[in-house]
Amino acid sequence: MVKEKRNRYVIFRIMSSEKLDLNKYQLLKIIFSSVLKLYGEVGASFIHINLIEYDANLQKGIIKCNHNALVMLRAALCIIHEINGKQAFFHIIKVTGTLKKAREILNSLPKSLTLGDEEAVPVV
Amino acid sequence: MVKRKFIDLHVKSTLSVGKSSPSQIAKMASYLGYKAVGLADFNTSNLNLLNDIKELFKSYNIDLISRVDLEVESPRKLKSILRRIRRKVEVISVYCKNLSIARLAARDRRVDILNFSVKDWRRNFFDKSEALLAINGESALEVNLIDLIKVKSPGERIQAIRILRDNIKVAKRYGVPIIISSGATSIFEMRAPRELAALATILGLTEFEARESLSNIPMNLVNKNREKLSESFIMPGVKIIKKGDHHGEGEKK
Repeated sequence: MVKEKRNRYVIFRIMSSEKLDLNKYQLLKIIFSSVLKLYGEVGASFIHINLIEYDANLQKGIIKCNHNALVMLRAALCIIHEINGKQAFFHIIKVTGTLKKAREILNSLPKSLTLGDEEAVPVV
Repeated sequence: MVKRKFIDLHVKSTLSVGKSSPSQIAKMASYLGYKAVGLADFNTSNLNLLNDIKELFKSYNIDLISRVDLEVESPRKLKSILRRIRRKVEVISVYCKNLSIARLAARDRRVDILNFSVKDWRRNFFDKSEALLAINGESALEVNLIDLIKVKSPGERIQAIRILRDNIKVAKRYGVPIIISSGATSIFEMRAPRELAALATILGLTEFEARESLSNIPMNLVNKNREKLSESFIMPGVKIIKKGDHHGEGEKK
């Protein structure tokens, strides 16, 4: 039987000019405020966001959302351009249908905060 | 299935008013999954740097597209600049500051992209007449999503959404190609193509249309211009395929 309500797990990484001092709840608040800005309370109820995991050291994590509202979540994350006064943006690495697969991908990501050559791109 | 090649046709680097160097932009574009980037830094004084920057972008597997953004007050000046630079750059964009510039830019086939103000609706000249001229002039409408991302107040974003949505509605009704770009001036203003496509859906585009506006539509424009700039091009549908030493050996298709 096809499940009535399906979820999507968004694996993301925050790229920022400096390292962010941010915990899971502060980040959830930032995501929520962005969703509310763009879609309002009714829209936010459709997306059904939940921040499943967030690694503050490597600035990566998993967000759960309704599978029909994935585009809305992407758009809401796209408009975030500053976190705690530092230039930052969300980069969605992959979207999966199961949490198990999402965790596998999250754990397989490089354990570095830079994009390889530190001199070329000073991003975290 | 052929994989879509995404293009961000409007990025500025430290060569003009941008805050990130060309190498940083190339690296970020490669990381975000772009295959080509349009660098809007060029003017008549720095076109000699083009080949070096192309090589730099090539090392990151990014195809660099040279682009010039023109922002002039008088139609006469616009015509004079177009005459000088058209054969030197791949893409020319005009920021339509007033009605006469808007109409001339839409009509002129040397102009590829039209840009309009999103901050003041009185300076937004994209209407039915402009759209009909743009179709004949083979120009496209550009939507810079930085206008929605980096705003000072919620009111500014509401205004930008309203104007861009109206422009897209007119463009779709009359068949004017729409190009979506980031309009980024630093690497932190760049976004992955799927994120930009998702943001464009709030402007009245479907997800498919938004992805086309980030890939095939700008790529077709660039390919058409590259063909025109090639030495073998004579006119649309006519090009030199072989040159002979004597009369009669040359062949024209």
